[in-house]
Formats: sequence, structure tokens, C-alpha cells
Amino acid sequence: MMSFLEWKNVEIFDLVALSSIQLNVQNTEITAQCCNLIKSENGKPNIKFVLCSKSGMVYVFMENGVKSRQISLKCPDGHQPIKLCCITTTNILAVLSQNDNYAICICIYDLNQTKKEEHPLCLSTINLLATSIATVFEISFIGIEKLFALGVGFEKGDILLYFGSINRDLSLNMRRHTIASSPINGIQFSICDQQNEMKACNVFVTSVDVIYCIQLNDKNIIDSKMVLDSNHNMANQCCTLSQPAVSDSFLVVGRDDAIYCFRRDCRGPCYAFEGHKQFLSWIDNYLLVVVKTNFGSAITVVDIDNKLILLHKRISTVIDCVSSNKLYYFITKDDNSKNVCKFNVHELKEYPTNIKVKTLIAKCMHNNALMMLKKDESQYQYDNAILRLKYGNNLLLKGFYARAVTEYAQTIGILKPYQIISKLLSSRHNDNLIQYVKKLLESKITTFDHQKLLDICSDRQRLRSRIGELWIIRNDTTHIIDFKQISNRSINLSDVNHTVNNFQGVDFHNADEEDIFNFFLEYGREVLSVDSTIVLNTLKSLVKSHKIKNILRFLMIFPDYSELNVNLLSYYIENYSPGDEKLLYYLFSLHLGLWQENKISAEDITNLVKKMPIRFEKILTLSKTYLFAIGIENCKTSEESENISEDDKSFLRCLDQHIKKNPNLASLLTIGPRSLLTILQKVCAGSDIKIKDCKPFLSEKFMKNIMDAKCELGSIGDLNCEIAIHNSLESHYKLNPIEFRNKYCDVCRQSLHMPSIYYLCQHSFHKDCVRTNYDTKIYDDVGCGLCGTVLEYPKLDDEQLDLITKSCDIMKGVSSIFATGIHSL
Amino acid sequence: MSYAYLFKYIIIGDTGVGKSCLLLQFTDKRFQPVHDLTIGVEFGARMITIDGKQIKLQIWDTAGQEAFRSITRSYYRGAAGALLVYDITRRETFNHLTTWLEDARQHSNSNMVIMLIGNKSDLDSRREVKKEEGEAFAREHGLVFMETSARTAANVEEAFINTAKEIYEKIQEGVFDINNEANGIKIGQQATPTNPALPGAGGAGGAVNSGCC
Repeated sequence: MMSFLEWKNVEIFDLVALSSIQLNVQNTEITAQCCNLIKSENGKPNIKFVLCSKSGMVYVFMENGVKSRQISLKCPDGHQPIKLCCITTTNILAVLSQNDNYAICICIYDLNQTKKEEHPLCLSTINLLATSIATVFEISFIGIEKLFALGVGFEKGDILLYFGSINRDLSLNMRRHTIASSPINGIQFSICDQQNEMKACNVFVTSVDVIYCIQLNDKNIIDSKMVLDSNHNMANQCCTLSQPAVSDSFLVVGRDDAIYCFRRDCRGPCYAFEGHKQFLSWIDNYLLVVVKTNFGSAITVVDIDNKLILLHKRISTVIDCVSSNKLYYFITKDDNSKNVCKFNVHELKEYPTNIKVKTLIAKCMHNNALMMLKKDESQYQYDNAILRLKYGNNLLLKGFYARAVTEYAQTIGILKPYQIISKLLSSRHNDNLIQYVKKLLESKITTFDHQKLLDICSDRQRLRSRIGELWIIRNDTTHIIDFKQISNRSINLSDVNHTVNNFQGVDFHNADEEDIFNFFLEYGREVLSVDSTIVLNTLKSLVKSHKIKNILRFLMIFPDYSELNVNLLSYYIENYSPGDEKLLYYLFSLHLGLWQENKISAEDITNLVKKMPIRFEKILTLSKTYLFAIGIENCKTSEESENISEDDKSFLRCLDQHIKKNPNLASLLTIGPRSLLTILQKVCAGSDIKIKDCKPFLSEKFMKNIMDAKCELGSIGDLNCEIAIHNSLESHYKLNPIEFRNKYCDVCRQSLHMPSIYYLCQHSFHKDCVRTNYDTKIYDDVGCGLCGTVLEYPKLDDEQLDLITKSCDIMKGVSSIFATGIHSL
Repeated sequence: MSYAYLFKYIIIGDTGVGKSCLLLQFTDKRFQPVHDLTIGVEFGARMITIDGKQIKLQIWDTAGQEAFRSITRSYYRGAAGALLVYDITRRETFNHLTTWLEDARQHSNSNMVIMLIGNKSDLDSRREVKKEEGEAFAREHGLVFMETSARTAANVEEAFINTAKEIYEKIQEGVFDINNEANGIKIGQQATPTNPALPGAGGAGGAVNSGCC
């Protein structure tokens, strides 16, 4: 099952092995242990490690970073082994022993009161009867008044609770409550919101299958009891309280499948994380989870809010986990030592802030780094600013200019402004620079140069708008369009329309043909892009008023507007020059051009041909040039062929006869336009066709065959190479098979469904995920987007290649036979 | 912040349909295109006003994967409303609705208001499930139906608020026993102390009081 280990990994903690702890006593069986950790005034950790032996002795190992000492004590009920023990950060130690009749004895010692080898002061001794084995023992000081809370959980589901001040005889006020029907395995105390004078505390009690929250008053009476959760399938393994001893702390419970959070009156979120939970604890806002594994313990520190894994390490089995004031120690048994009382100690060390920040920056997690620095902003003011600068640079690169400037602005007063100004000098960042400099001017560190810079930036902004205006004044629409495209990435059509309107008002009366031509040369195309009708009508009116005589050069202005040209030329021919063969010839070629662009049909051409008073062979020649073969067919089969002149009819008949006599010639009509034109010329001229006229056909055909054969041989060679490569690849994968077991897409982490892409590097993706996330053409031979591995064909030596190509190569056989056939030709 | 009622919601549906994104859009008014997979149950909260009354919505966002089903199932209990979400661009998520509905009905209280949500309505070009199909399914099973887009925020507010309205109406009709918290409804106190969030509710910021209960 997936767990929070899937989250991003940013190692900002480390495990450091410290010197081991060794008791003076040799080979004593340990029945209970506990320890506390206090940061002493000199900043060094002060650790107290308590080990209880089967003989009823309690050994306290104290180390303050400078020296270590050890004391031992024996409980009043000394003949019974200590079953459970607990120590607070105020050095109050409580030990619990139980006899065969379940009678318990609890002794509370003040370890602050120990001098040299003296027995520590016993604050209280409690003797009580119970009905089952004690399973959990917890003491705590809670609230501002530091009231003492004590709880003992029993196998049968009952608990002993005490809440109040410490006195000699606590047993008088201690009460037994029946809470659950299964063994109690966790008791946690937290302070309760005090709504009246009565003091109260919240007690979270976890039994194997149910979690309760109890409100206990200082009379040791339960005010309320609430079942937070019951789960009979999955046992509660361990629990911890966030921010202990504050009113809004919440309980975290570890089960085999997940970690569950509970507040005093409702459930909280949960996070899947499999494994037997040994310890749970909080380091500020980070959750520490120790999971028992086959090979020892796995320690994981996780930032639940930001979904980050801060540490994941395995060590030998942890027997206790101690924490206080951000110090975390893991006690493990020294398996290599013969002395069973030797323990290894590992410290959980948080990296210094600069390393943490560096790690986060390397992973582009600037926001997290900033949040980290925010905790102690005054101390890291400069680093914070540097980080913001880097974050800003990162945002600038990604194109988030406004956000980048916001980050930059927060460095004002700490970083020198030139570091930022230099990044925003480009004209495209002009607005951002203005924004930054304005902020700069609001601050106290501003100089006269900054004001000057702002003026220059404003000038630059004005200059840009002036350039725009200038183009409009010049009425140069081309450049307006370009300019607007660059500045606004869109064409401002209103300006072009304005030009069009002006165009309509242009008076050509006094202009000669040259002026008109120059005018259209300069503005015609732009106006045409908006409204072709205006241009056409204007030109027609100019033709009508005989202002335009040489129509052809006007047509050259708009080579891409064949339809307009056709319209204009037709109009011109129809009205003013009906018999000009040159113009007709041009008109026909324009029509053929339109036919090629599929703008008019072949039928239109045929109809046009019928109307055109130009020589038919010219039509044929032009048709051939534009590959308009269908035109000839149409002309031949047309029912209205009577309209075709006698000469043309005889030409067609002649062509038909030739083709009938020499059917092979029919195919020639589709190749070699030059040779065909030669022969057509002969046919048209009525002269004899000699064998030498056919020579080019034959040579063309022959050359074509040779070229084809060469191409085919080349293709065969290429194919052989490709086959060899694929064979080698195939044999490689036969020898080293790859099993694709991936169930989830490596991008979206969802189960794979078709269409999917499996890479040889064992990454797999949904096709859509690759397309949207890696911006690659998936059909290309690109590598995996995640690891960048490019598929490499295994290289084989010649011998292997030969062996492979000789075996099972049908394609090669077929292609060689094919090639031999061509050779013999 | 004080509230008249607290409604508990649960969001269910196949993995990747956009449950967490819907919640994020509703509580935080933002959209995260690349969202971490929910690996358990997370929650968010937001205050809304219905009929002039402040109502706090406490929303449980569950993991959609089959592997997490045993964890998420326990959260059905005590929910007054459920958003059953499918992805209009993936038919299989629509096909699984029956299973989700059976699961929800089996593990929740019978009065739970269920709203069927066809999410990702902005991806109309990749649509595999017609709106009419969603409507027909909702009609057949007595659900309220709506197509939403967590990306564009289209209908997101409406989906949550309409569900709340329906619950509120049921309360007015006396269908819900509001004194039994197992129904997912809690009567508010006049002045509930402001509490910091539980872990995982960090994202639910802004105008939202993400404190629990």
C-alpha cells in the first residue's frame, strides 16, 4: 500500500551516533527503562537514563555532557521487580511494581534532590490493590500550576487516575475507573479549557480497540467520557500528544495501517503508513514515527502540513525514544557487547538552518525555505533576503514577473538594489522595474540615482507609446500591425480599418497611372487583407475611367490573390480588350492556377476553353504545364465538341489514332513534359513523327528504370541494416528479458490504463500524462521524461551481427531475390 | 468563530477525479494542477451562511484508491453529506459509482445527503460521460447532480452549498436528529474558542477558520 513515504524527500535531519551508555552492573535482566532529556544551562543535553532490574533495583545513569555518574536505589517493595517506570522533564521519577496478587506499589522520587551517592528523596509511596496486570504507566505535570497527573492502565480495561498536587499519600485521592473492555495501552494528559474555578484535565486513553477522551476534575471525578473511535480490526499500538500539556493538543495514534489524529471531541485526519508503530512523537510540527521492521527499526520524520519526508533511516531495534526541548535520542541495545547493560545512543540532529535552506533551494522549494527562515526572521534577515532574491530570480525565469517583483521588494533595505535592478534592465521588464523602483523610493534607503532611474524608465515607457503613435500618424499599417503584434501580441484591426476608410476617400482624379500604381504598391496589400471588394471596385472604376491601361503590372502587385486578378482581368478583357491573346493566355493560366488550388472545378476550365478565342494547342500546352490532363479528356468526350474548331478536332482525332496504333504511347502522356511537348508540336505542325523524336521517351524511360533500380538497391541496403538492428535488439531482449510490472503511472500515480507508454528504464506513464507533462512528441524516439534515459541499442560485433542476419532472415531473402531480378533487367 | 450548525461532509470517488482539488477550490479558492496523492483522509473547513445562519462545513477528503478503502470507510460514519465525485473524461470513474454508492449507503446513516458531482467540466473536448448520463444516474438513485470544474471553480461553491441547503432543509423538516452527533450535525456554541488546526488542515486558510469543530 502506498504511504506518506511517497511524498517529496528533503533530508533536513540526520541520525548521529553518540557514545554508548554502560551501567556498572553486569548482565542484569532489565525489566523497565525510561529516560529524560533536559537542555542544561550550558546548552548541553542533560540526560537521565533509568534502568530497572529484575532484582528490584533502580539504576539511574546521569550525564550532563561534562561528566557522568550513576546512582542506584531500591524501592520499599524491594522484593518485587519494577514493572513500569516513568520520568518527567522535572526529574520526578515514578516506578511501579506489582506482586502476584496484582497489588501495586508506586514510588515517586525527586531526582533533583540527589547528592552524590545518596538515595533520592521519596515524595510518595502508593500501595493499592488491583485486579489485573498493569500495562501502562504515565505521569505528567500539566498547566501553569504544574499539577501532577498520574495514570495507570490495566489489562482488564480499568485505570487508576490522580490529578492534583503531590503529597505524601496520594492513594487516598487516587480513583479507579472502569473505562474499556480491552487492555489499556496509552494514557496522555492535556490541560482542559477552564471555564470555571474547577481545575480539570483531559485524559486521552487508548485501549487496544477504542480511543476515549475523559475529562477529569481535581476531585478525581470523571466529568465526561467520549468515545473518539473504535476499531476492532486494527489494534492501537502507541500514541502521543502534540504539544503536550496545552489545551488544544491532539492525540496521534499509530495503528498497523495508518496514523490517526484525534482531538478531544472529534476525529482528525489520518495518513496511511504501514508497519508496527513502536513510538510516535512530535518535533515542533514534524511527526516522528518509529516503525518496527524485520531488521530493526525505521525512523521517519515527516512534515505533515507540507507533505515532506524529512528523514527516513533504519537502525537496530529502538528500545526507547526520549525527547525534550527538541532533543531526540534513540536508545538501542548494543548487540555486539557481551554486557547486556550496554546501550547505544543515537541523536536525531536537525541540520543547521543554512544547510536546510540550501537543500530546499536545490529542490526549488523556495516557499518552504522562506517559511523556515520566517521562524527566526531577525536572526536570518540577510539570508531571508538572499533567499527572496533567489526565489524572485526563479519566478522571473518562469515568467511570473509580478510575483518576482513582490519577492524582490521584500529585500529592500537588506540587499543592495543593483542586484535586482540589473535583472530588470531589459525593456520587456520595464513595467516591473518601475514597480520595484517605486517601492524603493518609498523606503528610506533611496538615493537620487533611483529617482533618476525611475524617470528614465518612465521615459522609456513614454517612448514606446510615442513610437506607436508615430506609426499611426504615418498611416503605415504594415508597421502598425507588426508593432502591435510585438507589443500586444494581437492585431489591432481598428487601425487597419481606419486606413481602409481613408483609402475609400482617396481621390485618383488627378493622379496618373504611375501614381496609382505606386499607391497600390504601397497600400494595396494591407487594404486587401481587410476588404478585397473595395480594392476590386476601385480598380474596376479606374479601368472604366481609362486611368489604368497596362493592367498586367497591377496584377503583379497581388500575386497571392488569384481570384481578384481573375475578376479584374476578365472585366478588363470583356470590356476593353476582347481579342488580346496575350491577356487571354494570362487569364487561362490564372484559371488553371485556381483549379490547382481547388478553387474552381475542371468543368469551369472546360467551359472557359470553349469560350476562349485562343489556339487550342496553346490551351493544351498550358494545360499540360498545369498538369490539367482531365481537360484534354473532357474536350475529347464533350458532347458539345461541335463547338471546337475543325483544326482542333483533327488534332484530337490524330492524337486518338496515334494512341490507338501505339497503345504504349498513352502512358507516355503522363511523363516527360518536354518530350511530350516536342511530339505535340510535331503533331500540331502536321509534320511526320520520326523515330528520333521518340528517342527521348525511350531514354527517359530507360534512365528512369536505372534510377529506380538504384533507389531500390539503396532501400534494400537500408532495410537490411534496420533488420539487423532490430534482430540484435530482439536477441538482446530475449537474452535479457525485461518484465514490466508497473501498475501506476509515474506522473500522476494513478493506476495505468491504456493508452500507456512503458520505457525500458521501467518507468511508465499514461500517454496523456507524458504529453501534458513533458511536452514531447510521444511517437519520437525520445527518452523517458523522468530519468532522461534514451533508449540505446546494444552494439554487437560483426560476427554476432552476421550470425543474427544469417538466421531467420526472410525479409533479406525476399529482398535479395527482388534485387537480382532488377540486376538481370 | 461561533456557528449555528456544524455539518460534516465526506468526499468520495475514484482516484484522480479531483476530490482534493474540489476541496482546495472550495476552502482556499485556488487550484493546484499537480496535486499530491491523498494517502489517507485529510480535512478542510469553511464557514457558509444559509438562511442567515452561520454554518460550518467540516469536510473529509478521502483517498480514492482501493487500497485505502478500509481506512476511509470508518469516516463515512457521522457524515451528514457526501459528495460522490466522478471524472467526466474517464468513463470508468462513472462506472464505479454504483460501488461507491453501495459503500456509502452501507456505512453511513440513512439520511445522508449525497450529491453526485461530474468534475472536470472544463475538459469538454475529452468528455467521455455525457451530462445526461450523470443526470439519469442521479435521478435513478435519488441524488442531486451537478457538473463542476475545480480548475475554473465552476459550480464548486454551488455543489457544497446546495448540499448544505438540503441538509438544512432536512433539519427543518425534523428528519435529522440533531442531538445525535453520529448524524454528522452538531449544534454550535455561541462562542467557540478559536483553535489552531489539526495537521493537514494547513491548506485551508484564508477566510476559513480551519479549526476543527
